[in-house]
Amino acid sequence: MIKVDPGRCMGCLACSNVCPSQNIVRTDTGEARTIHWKRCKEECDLCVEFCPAKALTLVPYDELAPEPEISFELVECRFCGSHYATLPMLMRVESSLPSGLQKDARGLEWIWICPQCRRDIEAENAAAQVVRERKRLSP
Amino acid sequence: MVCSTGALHKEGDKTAFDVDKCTGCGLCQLACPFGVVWTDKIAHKCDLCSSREVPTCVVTCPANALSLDFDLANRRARNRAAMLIAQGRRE
Repeated sequence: MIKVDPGRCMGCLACSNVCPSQNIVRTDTGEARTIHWKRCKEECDLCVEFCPAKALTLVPYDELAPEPEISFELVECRFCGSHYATLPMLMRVESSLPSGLQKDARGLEWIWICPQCRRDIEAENAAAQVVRERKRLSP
Repeated sequence: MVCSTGALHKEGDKTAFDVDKCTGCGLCQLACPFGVVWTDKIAHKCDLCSSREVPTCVVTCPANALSLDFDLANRRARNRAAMLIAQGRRE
């Protein structure tokens, strides 16, 4: 069965996605995400291998061991208010960015904006650029 | 940079995607400043129709407004990255 290091787990759900027997259950309530690891007898260690945070280990089956469960609050998008990711995931992404890329040209800290809003902002900027270009070219 | 399995990787100028290696962890989606990468159980990203010579969006655009221009795309990406870095230094 699987042992979880709660200090390392960032709640990304890679383990749940790769588990062939649906033993890792996710519950998203909108504002929070809970991950529950069922006591499994399999010797399979796909989740251990694919955990990007190296938070999982395979330990011998123990009927009395409690089933691990971790809850994460989901971070709110600064633009639309939707809850889009866990804080440890965003911290991990932020720490792997080259310095100087944390803010975009308009000073937006895009990490704290959800992907859908990032896309909308980018589309608006591209459209504005095209309009400017057309104005410049038309007599 | 954030992909831990190498599913998203560089192939020359392109960022290529190997679907068999993707775990759906979603870090790439959070690391894209432009919201271009999407994940549900696995990641989704435009691969410029890697199995075709010309992407289908270019072929079907009724106004012939789209074209595939790596030089232009790379120039824009470089400009954009330079802008981002300059802004970060000013802060």
